[in-house]
Amino acid sequence: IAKWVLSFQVHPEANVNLDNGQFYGFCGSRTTKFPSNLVKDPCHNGSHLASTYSALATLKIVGYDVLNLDSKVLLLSMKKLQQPDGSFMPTHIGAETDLRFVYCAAAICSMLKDWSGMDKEKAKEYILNCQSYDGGFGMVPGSESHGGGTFCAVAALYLMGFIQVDLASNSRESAPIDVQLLLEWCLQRQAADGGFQGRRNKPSDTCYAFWIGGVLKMIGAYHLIDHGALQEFLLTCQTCYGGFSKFPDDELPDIYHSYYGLAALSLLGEEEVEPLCAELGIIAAAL
Amino acid sequence: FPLRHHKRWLAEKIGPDAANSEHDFTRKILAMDAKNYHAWSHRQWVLQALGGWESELQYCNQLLEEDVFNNSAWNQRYLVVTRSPILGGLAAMRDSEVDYTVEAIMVNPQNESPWRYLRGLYKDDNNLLVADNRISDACLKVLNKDWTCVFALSFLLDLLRMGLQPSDELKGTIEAMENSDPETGHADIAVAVCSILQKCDPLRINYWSWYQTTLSS
Repeated sequence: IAKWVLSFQVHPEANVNLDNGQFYGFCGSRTTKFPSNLVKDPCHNGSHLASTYSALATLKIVGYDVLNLDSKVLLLSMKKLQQPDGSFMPTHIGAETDLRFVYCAAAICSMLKDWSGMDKEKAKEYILNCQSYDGGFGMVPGSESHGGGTFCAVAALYLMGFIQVDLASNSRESAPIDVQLLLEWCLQRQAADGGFQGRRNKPSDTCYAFWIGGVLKMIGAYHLIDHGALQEFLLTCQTCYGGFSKFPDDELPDIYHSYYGLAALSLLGEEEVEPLCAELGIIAAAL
Repeated sequence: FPLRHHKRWLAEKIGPDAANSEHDFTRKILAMDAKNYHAWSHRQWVLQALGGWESELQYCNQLLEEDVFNNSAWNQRYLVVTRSPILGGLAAMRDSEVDYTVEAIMVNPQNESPWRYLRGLYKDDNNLLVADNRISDACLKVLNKDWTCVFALSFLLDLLRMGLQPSDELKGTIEAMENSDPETGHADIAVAVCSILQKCDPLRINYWSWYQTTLSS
């Protein structure tokens, strides 16, 4: 698996000017990478922040030491994806910026143990601008508070070392965000059916048990939810084929909800499920 | 995703004329899916980059008439009220917005959206929030009709934490709630509200009991 993942790393050609603005990370699939000896075309490099995060996380899970990677160029070129407002573009080709890619960048730096890939202060500024009037975080400043956005915001701040909060021990040493409001927002997302909703007044969805559960874990407040109700909800999202679906009583599972359903069960302390590193979204043993 | 980015690149080149057609575009999508996250963020981008604010508050009114539980519409309302260059900003809009929101609460006190919006209108200004009698009055009115309303109780708790001096009427209402449950009354009204919340919001009983411990410190 490690060899296969590594084959997606995009390396700059010899003698290429590393200031060409391209990002040299991992691409997601072979179809986004068109090798060409004839044309120096920036689109042939399909490197993407999300693929790079996934690649590094996968390598760690299978026990590959990512510090063995040649990551100098990766980090140098990743920094160029950071925008003046602190957010990150996912690729050099040009696309929208939002919290997901700030998180990917922070996770990448964290896994490579090298923060030269981003300006942490600017990233923090962008994240703070994403906190909504109700304590949750939207994907971009002004957007509605969202479970995924909130995870990306809090996990990125946590990885960068800007949050040292443990509500369980009543310690709030360091937090540039409104923690109390965040806490209330998260806890209010647990619905009457025991599951977590991604946004206010929307139906509960399996994956938010991880996105929001993970946030609560990071601020030391996971013990405040109703564990029994959540566990019951998650089990109703299991399908007859195995795996998890988005909503209860759906027939068809998918890999995304199965992964985050399992991750949520891990946070719950379910027996026979490996402990999780919430901030990276992978098993703790991988670290 | 890439298509939307290309559309934005084009719209930026064309300028403010593109605003109307972009707003029509997102309006059509939202008519089918009123909470579509991508449509909302594109709509917000268009407003801030190209304009078209004139009818946006009215658009929020319309969506909230159709579904007062639509949290995306409440969020959009917050953007308009705080960022619209033609409305004068939050301080100028706050008064009318409080009235609008309190009315929405009265129609449906079980809807969390207006409660949070109300709180947001006084973001970073707890003193003004506590001083606005309409707010504590609204909580009291709701509780007199339904003493188990969790949002009213928790808003009240926030107000008490911020320094609200409870009126005799309020104290009386809380005492009556406690008497409905034969446990010892609490001298501290905030602690009393907390213990009521543990009963009325059992899903979050761990939170409310933890909250109660922070009250004594």
